[in-house]
Amino acid sequence: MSPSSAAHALGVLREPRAHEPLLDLLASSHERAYYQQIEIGVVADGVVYTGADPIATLLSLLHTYTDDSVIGGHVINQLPLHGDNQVIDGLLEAIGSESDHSTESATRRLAEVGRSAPEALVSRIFAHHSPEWLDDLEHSLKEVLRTAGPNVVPSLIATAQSSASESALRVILPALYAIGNVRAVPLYERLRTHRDRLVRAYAIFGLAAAGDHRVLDDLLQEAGQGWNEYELGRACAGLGSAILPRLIRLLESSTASEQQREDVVSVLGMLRDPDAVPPLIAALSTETSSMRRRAVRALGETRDPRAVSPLIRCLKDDQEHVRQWGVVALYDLARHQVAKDEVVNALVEVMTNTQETPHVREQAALLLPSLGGEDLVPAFQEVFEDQDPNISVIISGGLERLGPRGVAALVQYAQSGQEPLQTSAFERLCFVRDPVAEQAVIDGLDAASPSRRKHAAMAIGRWHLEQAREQLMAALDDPDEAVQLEVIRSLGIIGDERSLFRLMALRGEQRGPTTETKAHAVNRAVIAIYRRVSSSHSDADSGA
Amino acid sequence: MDIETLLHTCLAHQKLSMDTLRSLTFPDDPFGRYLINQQLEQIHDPRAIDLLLVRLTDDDPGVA
Repeated sequence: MSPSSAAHALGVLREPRAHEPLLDLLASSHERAYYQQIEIGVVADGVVYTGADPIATLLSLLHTYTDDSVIGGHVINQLPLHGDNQVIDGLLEAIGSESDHSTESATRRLAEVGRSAPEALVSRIFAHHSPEWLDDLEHSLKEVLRTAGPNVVPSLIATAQSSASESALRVILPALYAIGNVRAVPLYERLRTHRDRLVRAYAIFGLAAAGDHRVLDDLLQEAGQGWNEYELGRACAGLGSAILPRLIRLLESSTASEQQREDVVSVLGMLRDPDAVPPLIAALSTETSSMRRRAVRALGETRDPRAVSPLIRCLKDDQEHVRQWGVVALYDLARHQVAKDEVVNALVEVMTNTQETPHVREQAALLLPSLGGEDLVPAFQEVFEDQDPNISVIISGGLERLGPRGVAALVQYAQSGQEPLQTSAFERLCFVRDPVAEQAVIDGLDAASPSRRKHAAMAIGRWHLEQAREQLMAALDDPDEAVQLEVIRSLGIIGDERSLFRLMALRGEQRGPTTETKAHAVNRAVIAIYRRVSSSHSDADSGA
Repeated sequence: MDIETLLHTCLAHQKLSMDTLRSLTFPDDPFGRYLINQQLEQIHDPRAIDLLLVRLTDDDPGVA
């Protein structure tokens, strides 16, 4: 805690003599268990501020710590983005990092570069790296370009039209197709017979999505070849009703493979054509459960009322995954105002059915609150009172999402004195930011159960319930160490000047095996309160 | 000066002299050292930087 305050001070003072010591401190920061992420960030910032060239220092740190999710991630977020080649190269190095956090941060920041300086980004990716490098990072690069969006399209097209390698095209074509832009159509046209299968397929997808019927046969050849079903579906949807009879014929063909037929079923749903509904309903009767599951999902996509009854019958399928997708498909229909009441009744039946598996019941309980309002409270209460350990958490969460009447029911359970309902409801209330629940949570500080007192203390801090400050101060004397710890942390969030001096006095009273953790918590809380109180004094001074 | 007095001084936005700051030691109190470092940051005196450098490189997590 303290070295980082010295690091902060030396950084503010731009003291060059501190640069090397700060680098050493950063290198050893992970060994110092008392550090936390923000403090490592303070030390890293100190290194940058005390160095001669901030960007060069950041890039050097990024190179050294690219696999370190804390330091690498922090540095990536500090880099200024204005199309500087060195910055782009540094971030491109980081997307190959072993740290997922660094990779995600670098991807996000490169996409930002793509929006503001698309030509620079595309040039650095394709003109300055080998085909092997592009192959290795194909997935991450596609993600960068896709997320960057339409601004990169002209540069990608220009690159693909020049002397791009196959490796480059294997990144560019999927990215262009994902972004979706008619300006790429001439490029797709040129590459539709390319020798590389992936390049050729995305050129065909692109042309189909743009409505070019000449590629219909080529597109049908791609069914069952392992493509992402949404990518394939989007291409088919581009051809409109012209493709429908061909898809149905393929589905009914005795020579089509199982995988082809499953892809066709998925695509039929995405077409949202009334004529696709009967073959999908027929597909619900096939023996393969994976085909039934695809047909169930596809029917949910159709938004067609004829799908409702067959889907409700699927809730009795002997395969759990088919029933689970049946719940989702019915929900999809209802959220588009198709047979909403009928669907809600069917899903309530699933949720309350104690013979059904927890997974399927959970799925229904998760989706129902988005469809129904407070009328569903009694059904959720019925299941909550069963206290089935497999689903009680989802059910209490559902009650919360049903609005004030659901929250009021939880408050009632939390004050009922009936275990385990009382604890289960109280713990849920501690995650609800609802004025109806505030007093019940504050009262939890006086509960007999240490677990409830601990949850109450946590929630008071999380919700910034300043009206509970006095009760929190009193709870510093709680006999349970775990409760005390949460009280200290919450005081760090809402404590005032009086709390600050009380916590300082507490530091002389620490005893027992958890002293070190508690001492850290107190120190953190003290500094947090000091910063807040001190800045409010400054505001008051400047106001005066 | 004890830690409570130092805290009152900091909350009142009073600046301590370099000599006073050099005389203050709170070996087991990270918050005390935090307050001192904050004061040192605001003093335009080369000796303040020297003192901060010593605090930075001290290996004892409680002392730096």
